[in-house]
Amino acid sequence: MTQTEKHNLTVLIADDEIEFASTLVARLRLRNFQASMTNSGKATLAAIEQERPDVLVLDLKMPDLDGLEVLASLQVKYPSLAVIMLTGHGSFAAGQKGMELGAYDYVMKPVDLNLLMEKIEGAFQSKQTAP
Amino acid sequence: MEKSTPDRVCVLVFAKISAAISHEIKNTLSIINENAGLLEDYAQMAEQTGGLPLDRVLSITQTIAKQVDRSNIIMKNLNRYAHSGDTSLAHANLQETLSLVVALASRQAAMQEIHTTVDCPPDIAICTHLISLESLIYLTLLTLYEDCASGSTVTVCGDVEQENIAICFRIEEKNVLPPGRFPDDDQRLLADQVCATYRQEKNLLCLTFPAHQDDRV
Repeated sequence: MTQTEKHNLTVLIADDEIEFASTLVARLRLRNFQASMTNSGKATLAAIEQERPDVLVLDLKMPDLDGLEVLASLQVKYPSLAVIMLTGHGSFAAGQKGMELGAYDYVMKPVDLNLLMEKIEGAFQSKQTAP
Repeated sequence: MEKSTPDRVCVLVFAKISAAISHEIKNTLSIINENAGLLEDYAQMAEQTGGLPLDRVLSITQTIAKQVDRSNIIMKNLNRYAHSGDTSLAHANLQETLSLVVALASRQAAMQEIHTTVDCPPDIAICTHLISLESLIYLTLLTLYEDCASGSTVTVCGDVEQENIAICFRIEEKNVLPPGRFPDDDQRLLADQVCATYRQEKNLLCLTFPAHQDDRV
């Protein structure tokens, strides 16, 4: 993916750890992504309605609605939205549960930024090529 | 099915607490990791432009220091709880015990958006099966959090009533405890071990137990 293509890619980071989300947003912006953040499940649903991001990076554990509840709601309303789950669990099970519910992939915390960017681009392209 | 025992329930509570705390530590590590990465980004940019955004660098170092403090408090609480099981009976301060358990359950409270306060005189001493009592208070709080609406406050009060200790959990008017909610099987096992009885009202749950238990009980 070229820098210009990345420049147009909008990414929403949904995580209740504000300092984590804001720093990740800053680092993605330095790499030419159009990134923004939300800090709760309900705020995430509202932001998707308003911003229509290309890719959502969604934390599994959040107040009000957790990540899997948000994901289930999105699959009905926005099936073309590419979602990557973020998990602080020690095992892969929680991330795999997200994939069963339609997420493209998952990443574990602490995040490897290069890996996350690869997955963001892969998630976006998979939705572009989907029938 | 394997028969449960107070020790087994304590192990399960320990596992729950460890799971919550490892999540919290992963969160602090994630924040530190991202901020270290951002610092590296700025250093690489400075190589090209010749200047560092000093205010941002200072903000990053403050964030990292704050997360190190947060991790330290979390680990100190876990360490205190772990040492509660060092002896069968242990002396403790009631206010400190209540504050510790509330802190250990803070992640679950935050997930349900519930605020918990402790109201207890600072000078009440107890001698009991401490890890069982702490586990019992923890399980009681988790059940209360499930029953409370988001945005609620739970007040945990501790006091002496003659030779007994009363720990009361007060919830707001808008929440109602379902009749017979307490104790469940695990809570009953732990309550028996610390000789505690439950009294449940509409918005109030009280645990009463002897202030000083001895090994013969």
